[in-house]
Amino acid sequence: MSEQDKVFGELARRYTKAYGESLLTENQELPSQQVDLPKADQAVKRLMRQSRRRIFYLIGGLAAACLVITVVLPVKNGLEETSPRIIAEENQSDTGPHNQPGQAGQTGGELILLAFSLPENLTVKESMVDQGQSVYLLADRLRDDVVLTMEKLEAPAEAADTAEMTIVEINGHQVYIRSDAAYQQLICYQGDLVYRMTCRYDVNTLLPVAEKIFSDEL
Amino acid sequence: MIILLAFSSESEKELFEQMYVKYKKLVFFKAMEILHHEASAEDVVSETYLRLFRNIHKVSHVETASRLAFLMTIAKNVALTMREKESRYQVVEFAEEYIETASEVVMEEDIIARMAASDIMSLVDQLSEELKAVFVLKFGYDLSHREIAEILNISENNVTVRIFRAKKKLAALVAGAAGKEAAYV
Repeated sequence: MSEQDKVFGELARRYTKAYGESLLTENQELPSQQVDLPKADQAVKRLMRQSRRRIFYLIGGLAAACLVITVVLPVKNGLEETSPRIIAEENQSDTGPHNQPGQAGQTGGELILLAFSLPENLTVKESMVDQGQSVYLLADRLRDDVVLTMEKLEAPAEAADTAEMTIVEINGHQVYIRSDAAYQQLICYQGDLVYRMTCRYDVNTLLPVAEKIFSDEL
Repeated sequence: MIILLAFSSESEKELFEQMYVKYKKLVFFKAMEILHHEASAEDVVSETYLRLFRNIHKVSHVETASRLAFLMTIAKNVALTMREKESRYQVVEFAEEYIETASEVVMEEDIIARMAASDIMSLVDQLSEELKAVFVLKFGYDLSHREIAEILNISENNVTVRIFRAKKKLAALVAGAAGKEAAYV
């Protein structure tokens, strides 16, 4: 930087400081009435979401890699070789309960194993049985974690909880979705199971899971 | 390293959020002064914070006042560009001017040092907003021409031209303020 540019630098820095201070004063003197900026608020929320995702990439990268190596790959390999029912039988007879994912959290019943592969962005973080439902917490690479519950469908009447939901067709199957400001929900039925899943931000996190449910007939 | 980067991103995220909550109203009012139209002013708020978001790391280390000046420099530029587009004419700038007069501008350091903050303000405020924006971003925040071009959404060539014009005008103003004429080498 030339000597002249240093002088300009000094001038610019003194100017920005003085200008900024005048703006701070002006900001304090603004009328107290609320200004409604819904479009800008939405835009900033979207940016913050992106930011959360970026941060998750940074600190979650190593953790996700470890999780994939230690938990998901062994489970997935097992599923590719045998059907879920066979695995369940094997687990009952040959394998101790602590070798099953999430067994420590089980209460009231047997964990229904995932009979489909997960989309690449999702990994099983935790699983448990709660009040007859098999619950999986799926960590999303983009930090839109999914809670998936699977439950045996006892009667057709149970389908009633899809009322007022939007119907979307995937691979010829109907799935039910609901988008809310607070959460996203998807319900679908396959075989004798009802799958319910929720995530925080984007229903597009859930739809590929439903697609896998219908396409991966293991 | 990863954790340090993550903390840095996290603190910048908080800073960005704070700057939105604290100053969005001020940005909106400033945009209204230029555009006199609420929907357009709100668009200015959105665009300004989008540009701030992309460049928050460039001002995360500076003091609050300078950070706010940076935000408002972007906001004014966005609003003026919007007004210019709406008025259906564009100011055409020629890079040739830079080439023709690319001599060094001379300005004396002690004159600046003797000036009060209010004098500095009124001096730099004599620049047009478009010259002021590039001048402030270049010399106040040490940004490269490419970074300035991205923030202001103009070509690097235009940045170079505007910086030269700003320096030239400021040198003349400072010389005038000191009772002498600017000299060119």
